[in-house]
Amino acid sequence: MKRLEDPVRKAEVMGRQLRRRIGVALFLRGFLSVLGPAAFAAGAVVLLLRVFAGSLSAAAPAGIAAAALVLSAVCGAGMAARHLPERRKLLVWLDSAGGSGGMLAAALEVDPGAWRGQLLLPPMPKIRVGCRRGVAVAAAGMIFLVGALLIPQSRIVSGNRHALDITEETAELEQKLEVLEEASLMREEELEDLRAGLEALEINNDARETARTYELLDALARKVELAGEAAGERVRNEVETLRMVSNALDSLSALPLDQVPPEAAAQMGALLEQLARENPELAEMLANAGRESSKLDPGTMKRLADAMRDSSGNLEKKLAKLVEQKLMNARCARPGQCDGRNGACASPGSCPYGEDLASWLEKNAPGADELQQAVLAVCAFGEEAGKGGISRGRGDALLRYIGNTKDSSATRRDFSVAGANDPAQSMVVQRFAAAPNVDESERRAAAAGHLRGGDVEMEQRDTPVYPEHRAAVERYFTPKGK
Amino acid sequence: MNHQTELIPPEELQPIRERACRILDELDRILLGHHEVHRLLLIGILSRGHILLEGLPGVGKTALVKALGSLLSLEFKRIQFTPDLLPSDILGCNILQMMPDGERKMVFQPGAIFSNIVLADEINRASPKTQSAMLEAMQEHAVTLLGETRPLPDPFFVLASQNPIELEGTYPIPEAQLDRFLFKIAVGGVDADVLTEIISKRRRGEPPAPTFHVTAAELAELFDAMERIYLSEPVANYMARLVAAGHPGSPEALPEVERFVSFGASPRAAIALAESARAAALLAGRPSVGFEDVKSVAPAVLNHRLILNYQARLEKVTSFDLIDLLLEKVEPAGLGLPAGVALESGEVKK
Repeated sequence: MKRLEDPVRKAEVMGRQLRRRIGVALFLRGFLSVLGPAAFAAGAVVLLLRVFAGSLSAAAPAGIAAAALVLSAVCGAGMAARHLPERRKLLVWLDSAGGSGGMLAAALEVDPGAWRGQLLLPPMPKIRVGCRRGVAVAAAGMIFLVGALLIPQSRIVSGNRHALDITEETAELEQKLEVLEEASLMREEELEDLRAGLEALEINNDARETARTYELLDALARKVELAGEAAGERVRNEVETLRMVSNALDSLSALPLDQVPPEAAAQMGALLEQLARENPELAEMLANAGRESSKLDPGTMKRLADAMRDSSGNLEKKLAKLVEQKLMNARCARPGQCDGRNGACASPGSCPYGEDLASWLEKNAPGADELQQAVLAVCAFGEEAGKGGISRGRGDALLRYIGNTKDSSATRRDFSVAGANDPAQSMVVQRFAAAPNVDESERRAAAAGHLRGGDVEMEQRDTPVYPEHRAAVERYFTPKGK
Repeated sequence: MNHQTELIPPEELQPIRERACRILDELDRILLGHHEVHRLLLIGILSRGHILLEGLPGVGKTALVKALGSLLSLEFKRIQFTPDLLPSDILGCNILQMMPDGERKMVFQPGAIFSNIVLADEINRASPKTQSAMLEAMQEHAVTLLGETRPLPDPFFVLASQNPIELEGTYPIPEAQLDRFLFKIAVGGVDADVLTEIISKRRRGEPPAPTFHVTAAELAELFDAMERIYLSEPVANYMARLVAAGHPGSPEALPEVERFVSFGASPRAAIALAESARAAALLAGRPSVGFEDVKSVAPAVLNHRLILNYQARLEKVTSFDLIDLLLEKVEPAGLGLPAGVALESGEVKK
């Protein structure tokens, strides 16, 4: 038994403490009992808003969640205030629990006198709060609310039974975007913008507004196509640039050293520098090739040309992917053959060594006349030997392997066919910077012989030449008597 | 309404308590094995209430009352109730008498009720008319005959007994009249050890004579001390809630009460509860009524006042069961905490 100096005073202090504890316990109980339903209601409101009003800003769900919490707290406080017992009743409870025989209760009304020392106080009681169910409901409610806040908007919309089935279309668009992303053909912002558009389309997919949904889908698809075409155009231009530059380099390197004018080499160097400023990849190639802009020797030019062809090949693979995803017209994917976006091709099969290269140089290296002359000289020199021509004479035929034919199974030995560089067998008649003026009689003769340059319809035949034909081809081109 | 400004001091309460305890001890010595009955009987006497003892023949009811009368030095009379007993046999009557001067006068001849302690043996055997006369006198503490009211002696107690097994030829006391008894105490048998002691130490079972007697002045002091036992408002409120909870239809009524009780206890029950709780506090040596005092007397006060219905009989629910339930469910302090919240007190070490 704990005998206190002034038990009545001690009891009052104890009563105050007990009242505070009971208040906290009642508040928690009330809070938890309201929190569950409030969280469920808030979660339902958030879900309804997300379903019917589309995606919400972050502030709205947070506000709803906060409102649920505040409401629970207010209700908890209200319930606590409603059930919180008076301090006097708590003293009476202490009396009944402590076995004071009503003396503590009596001491609240009359002077206990000599009995003051006989008052007994129990230890501070424990407060048992049966709120297991409330806690469970509150936990479930909070999980529901958090789930309602965190569930992706697309899931909510896809769960909408009134949505149109545009999964194939959206999947296709998604795939196109992935290709564009993988090939690094688009800027990050553009991709994000398109992805946001795709998500918005899924959110706003509503079967009750079919026209609007399809309009959105079409608009997005058009946007993706335009983006793909623009990206493809850029790549194609790059490929074309690389191809043209590599061709020009090849042309220069193919000329005998004494026939390469120094001005042409300098202009080629200037052109490369100019292009390198716009194209970091080209700049890197130049750096790797150890080029000095003022000294372009044939070996450097050859290495540069090879590197550019490799790079061009990589870019062409990207183009192939774009074509595969129908982001680009297949015909436009071939450099040098497309004048416009929709495949308005110009002179398919034209020689990049010839007029195309000349016109490209005119456009991209204006004023570099020596360079243009030197490159065209190669064309006139008959680099495309075997095709014949009224001004080109005979030359080495390039062997082309097509289909499934592989060169690896054949034993190949390269040698120069005498003729082109042999003054006894061939001769340079004239070099032209542009197409030569052909005499009318020659033109007729060419037309009669189905040679290029005639104004009659030409017949072209692609005859596959396989390795086993090599001997026959060589025999054909070997001058008689040799 | 309490007018006390302080509790009765221990030095005043202690001798009175010792006296009461001595009476109780003496009763325990005279009649073996019935301590609780003796305690309730003494509480009833201190509360100035009438007591109904219910028990089988031969359990010591009459002996108990006799011993009590002897101890308290009070006049004791016994009335054996029979079906042909008339009210005048109990209350008395006017008899025409010749005076010494030859004049004839109607002279009142008091009945057996004019005594301090009246033992109404087998009260349920008398006719309702006789029972009513008796019970009216119990309530009024006076007898009115031919327009003349004669007060009964003070103190006046009726200790009635009834046999619970022989119902043929009896007139069960109506519930309204049962309410006039402060307690209804069931006097049960005793165990084998007590019986052995009775047989071995008491010749023909006769109880020993009291070793002391309480004088009228001492008894008055006991009654005075009862007036000074303080009943605080929270304890009074507890008693009121306890009685109200036994009323079907009241807001405080328990579901079990609604189901099994036809009528609850009257306000007189609350008064009886308060008085008997005071006496219990006095016996415990406390200056104020405590919740445990109320709980200790509640079964004796309420058991004959809760009128059970047929459903209770069918399910063999007794009034004692319901009283235990009331004591368990009705919270002493009336904190009004919501369901699921409870205070759990630690053990109070004495």
